[in-house]
Amino acid sequence: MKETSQEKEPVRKLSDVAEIRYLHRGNTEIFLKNGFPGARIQCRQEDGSETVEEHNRIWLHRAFPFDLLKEYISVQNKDQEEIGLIRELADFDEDAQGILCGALEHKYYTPKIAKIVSLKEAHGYSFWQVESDAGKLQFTLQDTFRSLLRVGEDKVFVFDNYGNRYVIESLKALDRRSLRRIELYL
Amino acid sequence: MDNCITRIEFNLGPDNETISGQVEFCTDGLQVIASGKEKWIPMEGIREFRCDVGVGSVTLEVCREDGDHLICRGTMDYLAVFSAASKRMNRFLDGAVPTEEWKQYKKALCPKCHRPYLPDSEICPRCTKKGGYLRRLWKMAKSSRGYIYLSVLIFIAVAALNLVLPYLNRVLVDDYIKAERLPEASQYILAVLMILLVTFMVRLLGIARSFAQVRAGTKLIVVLRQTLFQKIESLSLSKVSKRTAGELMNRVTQDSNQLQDFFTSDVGGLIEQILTLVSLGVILFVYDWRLALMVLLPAPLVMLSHRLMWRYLGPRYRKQWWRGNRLYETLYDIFSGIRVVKAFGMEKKEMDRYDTVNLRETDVRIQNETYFAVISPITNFLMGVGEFFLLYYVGNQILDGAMTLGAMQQFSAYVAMIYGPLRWLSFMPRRLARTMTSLVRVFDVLDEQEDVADREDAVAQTIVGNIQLDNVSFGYEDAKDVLRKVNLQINPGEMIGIVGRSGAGKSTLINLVMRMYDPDDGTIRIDGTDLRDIAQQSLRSQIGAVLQETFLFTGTLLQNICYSKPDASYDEVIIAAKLAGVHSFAVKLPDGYNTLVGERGHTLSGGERQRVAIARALLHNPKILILDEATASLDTETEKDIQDALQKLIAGRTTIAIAHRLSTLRNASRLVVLDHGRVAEVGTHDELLAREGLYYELVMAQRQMSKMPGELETTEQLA
Repeated sequence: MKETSQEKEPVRKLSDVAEIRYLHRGNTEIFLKNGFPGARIQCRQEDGSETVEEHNRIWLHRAFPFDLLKEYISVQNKDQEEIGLIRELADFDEDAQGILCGALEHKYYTPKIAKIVSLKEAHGYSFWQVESDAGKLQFTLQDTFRSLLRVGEDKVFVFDNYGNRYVIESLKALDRRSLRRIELYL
Repeated sequence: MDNCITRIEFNLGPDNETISGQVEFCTDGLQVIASGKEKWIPMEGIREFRCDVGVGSVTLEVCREDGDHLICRGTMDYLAVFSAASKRMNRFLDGAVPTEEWKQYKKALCPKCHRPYLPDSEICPRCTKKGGYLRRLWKMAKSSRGYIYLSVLIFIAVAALNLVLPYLNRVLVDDYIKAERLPEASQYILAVLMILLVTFMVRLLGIARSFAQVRAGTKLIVVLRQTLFQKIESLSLSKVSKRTAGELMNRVTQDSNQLQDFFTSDVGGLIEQILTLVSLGVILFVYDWRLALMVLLPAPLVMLSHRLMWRYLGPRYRKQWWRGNRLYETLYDIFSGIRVVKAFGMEKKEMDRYDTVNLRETDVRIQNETYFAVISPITNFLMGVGEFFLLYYVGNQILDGAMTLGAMQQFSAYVAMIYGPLRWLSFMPRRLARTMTSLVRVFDVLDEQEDVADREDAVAQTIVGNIQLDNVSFGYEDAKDVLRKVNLQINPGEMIGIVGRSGAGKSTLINLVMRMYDPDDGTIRIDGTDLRDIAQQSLRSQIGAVLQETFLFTGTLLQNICYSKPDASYDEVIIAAKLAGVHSFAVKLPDGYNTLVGERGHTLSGGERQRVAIARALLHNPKILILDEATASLDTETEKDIQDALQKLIAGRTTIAIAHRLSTLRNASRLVVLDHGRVAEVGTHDELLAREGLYYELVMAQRQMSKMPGELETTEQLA
């Protein structure tokens, strides 16, 4: 049998095909306008010329909100289309980092629970009273087991019946009483 | 302020600090008050209000010429409040006149316990009184009340007879067995027969009680399920889709079962146990108060220890149940995806995953069994402590000759009996809690406001097919308006194509025409009559819809085609099937039109299912036809066949069609281009192309796409 001589195309790397625009201090300027973040992005055209894309307002979205808080941030316009991806906030200077961090903390408002003062269950709901970095809070969970998300061994996210989020950064750091209260649901 | 339109509260400051703030929306501007500071945002120059939903917070903003400006921020409990305010204010910007209703703003928190209400309600899960619910359930149990009364009566009779038995035993022992002179045999036999009779009566009443309970329960559960089912069916799509199908099924089946159990056995049981407890107490006190005290003093201890045991074990058992559930879910997940597991060679990984979940379940099970093995004998011992006191006291009494052997036996029996109700009652809070949970969930559905209810004077009307939308605005319950001030006039027999980007409001528009929802503002008229004045049954019976997702019910092909017209003749079915292209494949199936389709039946391809849906719509012979991406999921060739079938269906009917693939709409009399909820352009294909507006852009974008093989035809059609 005669082998057909076909020129093999080299296998291309996924990263070459995907065309992700990474934003960093080299190509993007982050600014604050009326208290909201905006961005000026330098774009290189096919003919080699450079243009500047200006976005008066950008929206930030964590790609891995439970695992990585300051890495892989999708930058979107008002139509929720991605205009670029930030690999890590450290790719920007301190001022820009401050603006981005502020916007992320606004959007992902997640009080850190330091102590569970009381956790009572009744009528299918559980009623929580906690002490957090946002002060004393009380909230209600519907279906407690499904409203807790354990990330790794030590971190727990709590989602209340409105979609508010709270986080216990470290179970180990909780006092014994608090731990005993939440342990039943983990 | 007099010119106040609406006002809201908010709770987050610029640095994420918790604050208490308020915004007053007036005709000339917004007054924001927070932490003792005031800010004024003038209305002039405001283009739009926006409620931006974050992940753990929500922001209310205004868009002006010079960019976006923050009004206020809040946690997610404020979403409904912010969203309502932004919708109202946008309507005000559009020229709507504020009403008194706008001024009333909802509080996000329960004024009593300061906890958030349940989403979309003003029910505080902690403070809502449950007694009212029980009364309402009792009203619903009207038809089964006779049986409920009967079973309660039997419960009482059983309790009374149970008390008589130990007395008869005592008579037997003292008067006959240990009698000083030999008793007559006939008297002795009579006493034994009495005991036999009472025991027999107890059993007999037990049977009668089960009978009454079953009758009462079945009647109640039928009424309850019917009411729930009717209610769910009458709710608008948005209210129904708030809950998953599984959740709704749970409420109709599980929760109603729980309530049935409560009424048929718990209520009777409660009365029986209380009666037993009280009468035993009285008997014991009347006979010897010291004896009674000795028995009853440990009672609170017994109840307390029992409560404590279950308070401790209860959550642990729930945890075990949850872990068991996870185990089951994992197993189900792995088995359902077994092809993927094998394709990627992940057997080992999945085995490890299963092992982990399995071990976690076993751990908690072992722990619980150990707890139970240790705790249970201790509480049982505590419960029996009273009997030891009694033994000591009674022993002394017998030795002193103050009590007979029969009396001792009778009292031992009573003492043993008295702990039964105590144990039972200590479980009551748990049963009550479970019932209350179900009650709340059932009435949560029953109390849902019917937002698309028929008006009392709604009429059945024969539709010609003229549709008119006047200043229609609408938004779902989340943040923004999907349609804003839509005006549209559709003439009878016209085919209107609706195009626009995803999220432009296309499907919402047809949902409104089908009256799945009512517009928040403006009116929709059919042949000049407000849609709200036409009986829904009459309206829908004259509208036919072919949707992208075709749902076939479990049943035969014939039943699925006939769904819209159950009394159709075989001839009619075959004609509709032939036109829709169903006939050609139906006659090739071994069972023809009797082939079982749907969840458990013969698998039809996407194209075949779609044709069944078209046949269904054809048979229905509607005056108004809705096509929502009817051919989007099909390949080009099948689409062409189905388009031809649809063309036959469309002729002479008012048709509204949505399609992403613009070529699908080539036969439309007019195209309506929606953009961000507003009508951007209206005209024929040629007119709109010439205008070089949004439609032109969409066509050009699709041309680019269509350069890919297989789609060339579309480009040609568009050009």
